[in-house]
Amino acid sequence: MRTLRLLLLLLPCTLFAQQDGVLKEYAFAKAEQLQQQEIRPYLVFLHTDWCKYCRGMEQNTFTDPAVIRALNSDYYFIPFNAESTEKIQFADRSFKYMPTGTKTGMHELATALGTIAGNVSFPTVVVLNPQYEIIFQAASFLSAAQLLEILKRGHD
Amino acid sequence: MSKWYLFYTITFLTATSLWAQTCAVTGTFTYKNELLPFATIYIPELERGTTADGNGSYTITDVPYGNYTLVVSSLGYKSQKKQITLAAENSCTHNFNMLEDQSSLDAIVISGTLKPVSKQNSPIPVEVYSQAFFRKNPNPSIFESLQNINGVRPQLNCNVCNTGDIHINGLEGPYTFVLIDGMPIVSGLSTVYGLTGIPQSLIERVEIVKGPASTLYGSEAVGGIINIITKKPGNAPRTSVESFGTSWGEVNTDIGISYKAGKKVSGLLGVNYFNYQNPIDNNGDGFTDLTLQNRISIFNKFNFERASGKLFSFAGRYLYEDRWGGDMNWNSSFRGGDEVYGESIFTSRWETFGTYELPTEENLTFQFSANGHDQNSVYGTDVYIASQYIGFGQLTWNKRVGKKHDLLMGAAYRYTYYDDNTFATAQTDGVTNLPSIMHLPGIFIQDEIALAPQHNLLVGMRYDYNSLHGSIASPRINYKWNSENNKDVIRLSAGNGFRVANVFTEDHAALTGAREVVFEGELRPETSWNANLNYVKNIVTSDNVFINLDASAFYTYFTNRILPDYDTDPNKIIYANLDGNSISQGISLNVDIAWQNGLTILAGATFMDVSITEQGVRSRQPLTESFSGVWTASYAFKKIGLSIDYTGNLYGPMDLPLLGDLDPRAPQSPWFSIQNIQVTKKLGRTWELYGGVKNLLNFTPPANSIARAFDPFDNDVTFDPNGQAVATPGNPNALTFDPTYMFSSNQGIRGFLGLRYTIF
Repeated sequence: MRTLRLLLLLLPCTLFAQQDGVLKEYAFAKAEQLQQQEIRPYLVFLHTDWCKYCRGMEQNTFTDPAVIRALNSDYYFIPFNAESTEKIQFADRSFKYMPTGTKTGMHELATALGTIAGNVSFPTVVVLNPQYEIIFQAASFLSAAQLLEILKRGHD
Repeated sequence: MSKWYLFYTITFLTATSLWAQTCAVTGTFTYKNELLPFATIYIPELERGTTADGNGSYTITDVPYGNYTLVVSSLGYKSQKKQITLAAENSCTHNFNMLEDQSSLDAIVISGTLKPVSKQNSPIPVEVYSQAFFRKNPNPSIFESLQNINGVRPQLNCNVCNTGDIHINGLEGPYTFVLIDGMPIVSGLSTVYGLTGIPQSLIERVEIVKGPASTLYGSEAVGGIINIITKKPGNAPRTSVESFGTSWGEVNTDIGISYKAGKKVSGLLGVNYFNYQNPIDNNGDGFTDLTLQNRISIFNKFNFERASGKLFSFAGRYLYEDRWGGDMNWNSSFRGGDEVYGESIFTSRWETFGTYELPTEENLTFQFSANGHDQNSVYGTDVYIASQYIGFGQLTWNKRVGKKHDLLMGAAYRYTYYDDNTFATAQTDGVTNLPSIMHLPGIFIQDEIALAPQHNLLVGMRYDYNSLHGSIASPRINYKWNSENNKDVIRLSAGNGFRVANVFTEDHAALTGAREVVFEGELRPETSWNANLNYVKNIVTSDNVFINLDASAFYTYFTNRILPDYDTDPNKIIYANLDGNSISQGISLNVDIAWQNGLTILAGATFMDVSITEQGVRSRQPLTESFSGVWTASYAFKKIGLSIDYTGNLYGPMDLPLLGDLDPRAPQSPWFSIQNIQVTKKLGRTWELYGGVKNLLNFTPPANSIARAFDPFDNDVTFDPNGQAVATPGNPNALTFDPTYMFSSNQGIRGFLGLRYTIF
């Protein structure tokens, strides 16, 4: 009986903790509707299957509680595989996968968002304002502290 | 590392006073007379602004009359400021013509954490090396650059003419299949010369597969694959110029330009020029230590944008090279003569290749390539003139069946024409010329099966019909398992490789003329069976140190090999089918660690045992090391834009070919190491200055590496009735002239300095 009461007491806490601790991810396809709920900037995380520094960010940066809190409350977080092949409608334009050679290519959306000095490299983090304008790009591994700094400035 | 721009807050507070007169400021943005969407406009005095719509029009409503500044900006365009006075309705329209801004893009500095090495998400173990990796030890050609890769060794075959081939896991150059953009264009004659003159500024990455892949690529893919991927026109700098020189007087220049030819065509042009005209003889043998070279290579690639979004690219390359080595007193008037010894080679080569995806619903891809190679060479008095033409076409069909199967089917055809001035292309009468023509049609199918979420299986089968050797079948199987988080990956592969040997085009020693070439019997295709186990472990520590471990074990068993026999008769090179077997086995480990403070270390080691068992007698393969190690250590001082790279390699002893029992040269090479250091400094956004020292330890092979360099025409050698050299007072070791004893470059310590200019 006592244990049950304890469990009942703990249950809501753990539920909340879990919800708080999970990073909410959104897709480009639904990104536009989100602004009608709440106006927020987007944080786009461009990655590929083979990029180990992207894995590192997934493992260490996007699991950081402060980062998760900041992203969940102030941003719409959109992770995007730059080599995915589906067609995407975003910001009144249609973006598709563009092959550049046999079994190599990049999604137009990754090119549009991630191009820095003529090059796209991974990982790239892009901040878009609610009008879908690029206001920030960083093409490098970002630690939780570095990303938090960006998230703070991007939301001011 | 990153840059903030266009960052401001749009305030939606309207400070409009009811009594003030207002107007809506409107206008359009254009760039080169075309409307430019999504530019931003801002009035600092009011802290208000807006963004243009998709048609380039903007409106800021309710702006009180007065004096203001309009600030407009758009990513990639120059920001503009305009002073305006709003006093009447007709003063409210303001249009902007935007100008392209390169500098704002250049201002963004990418940090040094780009991937130098990665492994693709494939059941086949592929190692990927980016251009950034090769820049850590700049070289005039990709041939030399490969020395920094574990298990890969560029081997110089000829002391005088400095031509070489690429050994992968101890297997010689002809077993290595070299592709450019996935197209098999470097083969046959060009295995000796094809890797020089690929403009390095155009190389995006180099992919290396160790172990056979004949199932997908057919003949020659026995030891491994080197696939050189060139940059995409859209992803290359607008202009890049790079030039470096060494204290030996070598000058290498690379130019890359990406351009638009009309709206739908983007192009990429690359020019490489290498010049070395300064004969040096530091080891005092009377011969040039480094072959003199004059080489130009021009590469151009077009990518066509198609409405279907499918790929069409087309590329071409032309290479011309004039190289000579030999007696320090040689000049071109001695070419082919018997007064002063020299080896002189003129090479003219063209290549064209392309990929076209058919505009069909199905994924059908046509790939094609053609190349011609003309070589005019003399080795002392021996003249070798050869030409080769190769045509290749392949149609593949990629089809997903259900959720689990990814099928790739294809049909390929290769045509090879080869002609030279030797008896290799003569009729049995030995007089009438008979060029060798080979047709090689083949079909293949492979299926990549997603067995379960973390299990992938790839099975493939290829069948070729060689017009000279008949049917050849090659199966393969690859399996990959990865842990859920991709931290651990295991790959298992097995398959076979086959190759039709053409010793004249591939083995340079056969051409030097120093020894007579003998064929015993009809040479059959070489066939090998290989198994490979690969384990990758990715670790990211909590303080963001990236550790990547990559271990492999390999075993290759040759049922037939065509091996040059140097030992039976010192005056001959005998080629025959192997009566026995040959085994190449070993293990290798790569470690790649990147710290957040800017330090990265990449190190690799390979232990291997390559042996030949003939008629029950097991022997070690000559010119093959049992241990090799490579490393690249880099440290970047990010704040001041300075980086230091320390690269090097270490090789264990190799058995070397001797000329009989009296040969005084060492039967084995010593342990040796070539080490280099480089400092690179960024100068502003577009310039980079780099320099350093190559071969820090000043290692060179022994000065007596060339036997009887003083008597290259064997004028003072006495031969017995069997053609064997006899020991005489003038020739106590019974030697003949021999430049094939070669395991490393004669180039000692040297400095280098270079400048890189890049505009995006």
